[in-house]
Amino acid sequence: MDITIDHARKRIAAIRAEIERLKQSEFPYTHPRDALDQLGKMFERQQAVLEKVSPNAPASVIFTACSTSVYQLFVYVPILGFILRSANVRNAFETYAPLLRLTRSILGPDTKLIISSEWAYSPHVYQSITDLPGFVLIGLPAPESANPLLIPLAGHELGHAVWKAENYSTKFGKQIEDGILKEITNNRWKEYEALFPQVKKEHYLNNDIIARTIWIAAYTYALRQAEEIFCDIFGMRLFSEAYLRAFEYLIAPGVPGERSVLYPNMERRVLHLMEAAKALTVSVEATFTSRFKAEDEPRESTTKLLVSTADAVSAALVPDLITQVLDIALSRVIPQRAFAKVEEVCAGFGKVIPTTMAYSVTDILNAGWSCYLNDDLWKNYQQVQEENRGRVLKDLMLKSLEVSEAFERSREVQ
Amino acid sequence: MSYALETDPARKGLRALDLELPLLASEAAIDIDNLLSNRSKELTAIRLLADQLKNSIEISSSGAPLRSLMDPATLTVLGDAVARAAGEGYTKKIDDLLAEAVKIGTELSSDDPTKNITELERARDFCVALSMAVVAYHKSISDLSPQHPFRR
Repeated sequence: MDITIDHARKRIAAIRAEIERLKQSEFPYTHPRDALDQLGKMFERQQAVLEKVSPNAPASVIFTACSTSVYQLFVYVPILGFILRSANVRNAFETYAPLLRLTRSILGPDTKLIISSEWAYSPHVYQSITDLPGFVLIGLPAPESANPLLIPLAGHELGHAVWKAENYSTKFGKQIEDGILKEITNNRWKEYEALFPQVKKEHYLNNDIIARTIWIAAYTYALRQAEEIFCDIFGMRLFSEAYLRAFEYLIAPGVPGERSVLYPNMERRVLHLMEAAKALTVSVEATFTSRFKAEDEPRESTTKLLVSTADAVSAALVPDLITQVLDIALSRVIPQRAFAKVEEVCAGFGKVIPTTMAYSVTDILNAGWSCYLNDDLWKNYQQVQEENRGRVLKDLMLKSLEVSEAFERSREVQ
Repeated sequence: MSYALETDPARKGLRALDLELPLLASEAAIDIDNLLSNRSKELTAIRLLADQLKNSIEISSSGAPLRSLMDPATLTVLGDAVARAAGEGYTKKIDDLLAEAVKIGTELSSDDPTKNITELERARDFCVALSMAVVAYHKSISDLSPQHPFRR
């Protein structure tokens, strides 16, 4: 037997056995196990495909079958780890039910959610996992995964799921393609001609493959930047001021060095947030922008040109992206921060008591941030020592989320 | 609202970011090879891929030029796959690329794909190239996001 096929089959058998072992874990809710079932079926199919490969097939067919199966392992092994870590007690399980409720109000009642404490500092979401349709997988950094003040960052990650569900890549794709070609041929032609002298203007205008291989990078950057901007705006729509505060807590002032090409640079990202805050009537402190440090632009000339082209195109999309978020919010039952409700929750927290009725997750998180930033909180409560303030506030927030969820459930069964 | 993107195989088009596409294209290559060698007559993956190709290109009955329904990244990946399968000297025109893709799609959905062995071998090579091109594209995107500064 061809040893390459044999290795490939054994690798897939090994991961299928691992999935069976993972199913024995104690998951606090059912969706991780559902995901394991789906992935088990996918690898069963992968195994069946490998069984069909004849050792007499051309090398190209054998290599493709085997390398595709290796690729699946690179893709899915981290996801299996993610699913396992969703059972870790480091997660704040109190937040799961309210977040699932919010997720389903946005993405539909059959959506499945897995939240995991991850050993990567940046919150993230796994998406486009074809074999997990209807699943949203959100990872939060382990040191903060039990911190309810940072739940608003999940709003950005939910934005990615909405972007995909609404097929915005296709919706904005043509606009971005046209924008890139226009930017190259109208505004940046001399720079492109100098860097790529073999490609003439008509190659771009006629949509030739030779030009496409150049501008597709700028297109990819612009599309990803547009998605990230959308997600920031979406997170802010879900959690209002609490989103900006959590965003600042997580990354301000930023990390020195070259920016990511897949995001707007930090300066622009914050400016777009400010622009959206106006449209969403979210209050922003005057000093907010000054708390973030500008990042370096790429030095390498081709990347620099392609990124700056993408920047111009994604920046022009911001008004449209704000409109999309507003439209989505209008078409769903998405709670909006209500100042009066936030005040009520704050009043309870001020007396060191959690909520005693149902409040939206948005109001509870905004109340939490409001209290967190109040230097006078519990000044007259000697039993709450200064060093315990943060922990007590977080416990009150988590308990309030649980109480609100209990009220929601009892309302549903009545 | 439906959370999943198009899941009806009859309407699904090619998408460079479809995680299932490399496996489907690879399986189609295996099935074509088995057809060519008379080892089996399994056509499911071949038909699914043919449907995706057909759903990605608009063919006008009035004789208007073919129109891509793919996003730019998918069109680029498809172009890469067609060029790899065709070898040196392949055309650089989108119209020719779409015509070639339609030709491959027609071969893949033929009632008797084995009646033209040369075309079927070409379709197999295309499936191999498509699987590789999609994975290469996924890698090119993930390589833009380094996971850790000191991770090697």
